[in-house]
Amino acid sequence: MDVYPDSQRVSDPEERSMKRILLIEDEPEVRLLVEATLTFRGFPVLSCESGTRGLEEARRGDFQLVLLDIMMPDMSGYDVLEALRADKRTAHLPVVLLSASSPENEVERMAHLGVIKFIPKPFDSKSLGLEVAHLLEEIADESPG
Amino acid sequence: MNPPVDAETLSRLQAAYVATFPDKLQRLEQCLEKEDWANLQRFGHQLKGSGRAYGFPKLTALGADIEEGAISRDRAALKGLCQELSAVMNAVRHERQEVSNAP
Repeated sequence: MDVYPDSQRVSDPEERSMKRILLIEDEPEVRLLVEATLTFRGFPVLSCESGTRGLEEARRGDFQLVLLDIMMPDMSGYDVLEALRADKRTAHLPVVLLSASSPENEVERMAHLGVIKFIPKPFDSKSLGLEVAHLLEEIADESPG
Repeated sequence: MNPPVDAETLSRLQAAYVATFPDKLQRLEQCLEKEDWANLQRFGHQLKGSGRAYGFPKLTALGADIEEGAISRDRAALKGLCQELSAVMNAVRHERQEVSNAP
């Protein structure tokens, strides 16, 4: 499934200097839809298909928000989150978890790891766009300076 | 109120999603044949997570049932769900083909 050229999937060099959203999601169909939704709303997105690659990008990039899937084959979203929190370069990153699984038994774990929002899949694209816009506003309001 | 994506992009995304249906059905049948419960569960989970987002809520419902069937290793239920999914996916493809062929 390939509906976007690479230049749109990974932000161009000019966009790379802007603060972006990092999307870590192994399912290509969900990844494409989230990319399309956020790109349409004007948010630059860098998407990664695995937890390992997502961590690498998080460590070298400057991101405003991370959208992180929980169920991934190489590293679970929680493994990624723990690694993000353990690294001073990424410990501060606001993280939103995405999952088709019920979060009922994970509420404490999410709170402990500083998850700012849980978005259940399947999501409505319009709601996702609005939710992310709202979160970015909140993050901007809370950031110093 | 803004739309989630522009109509052209949405249509392209849906077309690409629908184009994966034959592969999905084949993968499901193969997993069922091999009684590969882990991949059946994963298949159901993924379908549950994507169907409604692409505008096909029945796929999300069937995905949830497939995930449950795989967890409980209910081969008979999964066989029925496989047939049901095939019917739904074929109907969607047929419907979209009719729309695209309409004068």
